[in-house]
Amino acid sequence: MISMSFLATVATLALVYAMATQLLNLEAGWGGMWDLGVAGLIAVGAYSYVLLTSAPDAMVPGLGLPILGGMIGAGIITALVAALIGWPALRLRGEYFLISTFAFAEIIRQLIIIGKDVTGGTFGITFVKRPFEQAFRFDAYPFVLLGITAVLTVVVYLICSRVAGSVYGMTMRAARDNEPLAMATGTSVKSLRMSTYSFVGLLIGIFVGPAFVWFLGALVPSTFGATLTFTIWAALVIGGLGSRIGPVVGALLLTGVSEAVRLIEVAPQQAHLLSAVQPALVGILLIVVLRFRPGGLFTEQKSFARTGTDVKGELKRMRPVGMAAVNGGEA
Amino acid sequence: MQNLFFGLLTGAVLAVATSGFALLRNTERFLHTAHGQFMALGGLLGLTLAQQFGPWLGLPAAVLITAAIGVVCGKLLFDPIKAQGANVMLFTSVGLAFLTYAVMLVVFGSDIKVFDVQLGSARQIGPFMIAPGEIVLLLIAAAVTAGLWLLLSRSSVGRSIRAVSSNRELAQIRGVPTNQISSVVWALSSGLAAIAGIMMGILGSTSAEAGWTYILLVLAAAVLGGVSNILGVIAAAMLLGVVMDLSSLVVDTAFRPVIAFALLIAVLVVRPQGLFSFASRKEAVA
Amino acid sequence: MKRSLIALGAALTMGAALTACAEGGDQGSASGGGGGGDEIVFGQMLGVTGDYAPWASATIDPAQMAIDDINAEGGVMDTPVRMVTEDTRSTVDGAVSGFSKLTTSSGIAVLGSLESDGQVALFDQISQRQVPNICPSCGTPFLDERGGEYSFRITASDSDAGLIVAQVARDAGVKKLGMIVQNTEGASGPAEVAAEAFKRTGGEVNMVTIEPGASSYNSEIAKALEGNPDALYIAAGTEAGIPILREIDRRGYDVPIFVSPDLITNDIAAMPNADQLQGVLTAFDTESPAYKAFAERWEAKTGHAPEPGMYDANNYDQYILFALAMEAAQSTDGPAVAGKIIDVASGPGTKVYSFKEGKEALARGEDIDYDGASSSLDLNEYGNLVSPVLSTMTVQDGTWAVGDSVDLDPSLRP
Repeated sequence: MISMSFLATVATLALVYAMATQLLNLEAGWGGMWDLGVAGLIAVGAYSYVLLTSAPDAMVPGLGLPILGGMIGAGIITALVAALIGWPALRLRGEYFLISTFAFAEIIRQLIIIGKDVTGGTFGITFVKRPFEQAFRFDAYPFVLLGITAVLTVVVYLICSRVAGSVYGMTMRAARDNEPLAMATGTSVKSLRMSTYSFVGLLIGIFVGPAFVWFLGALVPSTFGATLTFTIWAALVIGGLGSRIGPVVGALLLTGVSEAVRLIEVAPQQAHLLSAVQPALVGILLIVVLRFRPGGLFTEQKSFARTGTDVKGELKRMRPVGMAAVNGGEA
Repeated sequence: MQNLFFGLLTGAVLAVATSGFALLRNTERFLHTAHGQFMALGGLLGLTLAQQFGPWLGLPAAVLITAAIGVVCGKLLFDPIKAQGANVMLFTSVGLAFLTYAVMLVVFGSDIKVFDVQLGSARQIGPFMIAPGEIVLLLIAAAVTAGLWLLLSRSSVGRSIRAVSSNRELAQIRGVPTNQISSVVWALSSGLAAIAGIMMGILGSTSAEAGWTYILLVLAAAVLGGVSNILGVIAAAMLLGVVMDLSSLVVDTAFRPVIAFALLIAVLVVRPQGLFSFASRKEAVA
Repeated sequence: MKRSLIALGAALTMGAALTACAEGGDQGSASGGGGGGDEIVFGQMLGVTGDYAPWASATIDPAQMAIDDINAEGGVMDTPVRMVTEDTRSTVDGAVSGFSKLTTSSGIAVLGSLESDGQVALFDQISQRQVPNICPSCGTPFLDERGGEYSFRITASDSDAGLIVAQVARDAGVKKLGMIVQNTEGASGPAEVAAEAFKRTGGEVNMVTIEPGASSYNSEIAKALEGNPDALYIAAGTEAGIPILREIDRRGYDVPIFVSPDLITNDIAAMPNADQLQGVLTAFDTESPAYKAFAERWEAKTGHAPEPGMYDANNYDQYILFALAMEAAQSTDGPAVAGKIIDVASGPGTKVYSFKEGKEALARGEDIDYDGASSSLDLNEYGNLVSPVLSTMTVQDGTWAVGDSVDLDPSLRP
């Protein structure tokens, strides 16, 4: 028996992931920056939002800003943090960039725990206010939240789509595919990447952080660990790195499958077997999709073919920032 | 001073794990994210088999089984997609990590397990208080890494491996059986992972969840060590272990993970190709 | 661009439509869920995987035993009870999604077994959905004064657990206390309370934090023992606790060690240096008939005695309490059941020690006071244990044995 309310809850989570996946796609798929630290940026966005909007007399006090103000403020803060990280990290390529973003994400998480006077440390922050919560009955609210999250997701989709189709986007992809050529034509690749990375930070702070917080209802630092990053990456790879609709589909598919597993009911003693099904499915999906459709379910080529832009983008030909290093120096 | 010994011990075990990871990276050319899970698998297998058949039989058996599993994965999952490039292989490895984790959950459950092996109590040796078992572990780690280095530098198999590392196509042209070498490398890497996992388990504990934490440190040590030289990676692992343990003398231990990662970032910024790599700076810098 | 506008319009329309139909939506499953006539559904939510995985079997098995006991008597109001279990993956998002599924799809009447962070995150939704909920192992101070309506807990608060450590240390003459504290909520909570309280008695505290999952803790241990403290307090789970104790043993550090409740398990008791250990927590009242009955069966099933650090007896009690409250209310309706929980758990009333006894007494029209396997379960108006039996525990012959009981010294409260 599947209830609409449960579906709504799962769909809301799926859409939050969809937004995160699209933004990762922007920097990694189109920008060529393979970021293993998205969880860190989402953490900054989420915590900033909550700290900006909590009441000054709450258990973990905040500034009491209204929701919209909080979203924008969170966006600015996350953009600044992204710029701070990008400044050293973007000097590096390929796996080195990967590792340093990973390291930064861990540092952020640790700092959140250490700064417990401000962030509530490992206890976290509870009693998060959600938009329009008072106006609806509690059993109607999941649908309202779903609606809000859906609208936000569409907005993110539109933004990403516009960026992709714009001159800026094309320059990004050109720089990704052939950096020396791009530089030769006068593009400052470094500042291009910095602005992209900060832009992604801005959008994460405005959209992903707050939406995730509304879904969770409570913030604890352990939510923002490596597993979150890997899950978003899995959704991106399965959906199609570099395509437009791919990230959304990947996130919906992955979250849907993971949570649908709950609907199978087994005896309590077999609960741990059922729990193993979710990572097993994610793993198998990743392996199978990569084997038979390495570009993902929706490839970049097809995504841009309709708009007439000729950008080759299948996964195997993509050069994320400096995979040259791993390939032993081939350019 | 005592902390130095602690650091050496942690570093030595990390070195065993990371050298396996680096082998795969150098020859198969991708970051094997599932390496952490293989370490946990080795630990869990070792514990279970040691309980059934005693440590002398059980532990080596666990290493061999994990090595075999590695070879099978290499052949079935990774060889077919080699042409797709490092990115596809990286994410296939992530997929394998999730899958291995799920299998461990089903077979071993999620409890924390403790090895029956006792390390004895510490005695004063020079400026350190060391338990005999710890010395044994240290010696084993040293023997394993020395053995690996000898294998790579002196034996013909090792020569072939190094040929494939530096230029796969050329090695193939020269008649090196690259497919067989792949299998050898997978076996070595997974075997090393198992050994490291067992050692971690003996020093502390092991569980299905542990794999996700192991990979963080291994990645850090591998990148610090740089590409192309196993010795570099081993040295980096030792250094990381020592720095982490010594840092607790100076700063609050709450900051220890921050220190480790901040160090990593600092090194990367200053010397992006890793501390001990002979690869040129150009490759690593954007 | 046109396609995008259409997409935006569609999303907005969908949002509006959903909101509209939501008003009519889940009307049926709001409160009173689970009373489906032919069976009653009990919900269980815990971290089967993730950080809380080590406690999983000690949570699921006793719960199943309770359900079996209930069904052996024909169930509640002569209706069989079925248990549905969800995995939170030890995460908040897992708890949110699992809760949604349990309350809407599975139609649970009551919810048990949830750990602290899920409990806190879902607190509002639990009262909105009017789901009676008992937490067998949450120490979080969050519940100190917020429970009692729909949320209850049957273990001592971390506030008390921390204070009691300071008290016992002080009374043992400890002036310098070294602390090794794990960086997670369940461990750092009591530890911070203990540190504050101990300092207030005039003692000195040297606190060192650790991360669970590290391969060795040698340097942290050395740091905690700097300055030769009179005793050590370790607040951690078994994942870190076991390596730490082994390393302490190897180095031959011979100080008395206080441990947090999570470490009161058999694995720890089996350590060679277990004679240095002392724990203080809501000990199981080993004289209680309910405990004895449970312990016998637990021993038969697992080969060892119940372990306070694993909360196994608490997990058993919660479902018996739910069942008795339902019997007393003669209804599965959320508010009705919730209203009866404090009643059946606390005096005045006929003392009963099992579901069978309770059901029979209720049938005779008596008020009951269920004393469970984990404690007398008497609850105050906030749904907290009135007088948690706090006892010191030490390891005797390889198992944890209950020592003297300790009454909390009120002067230690802040």
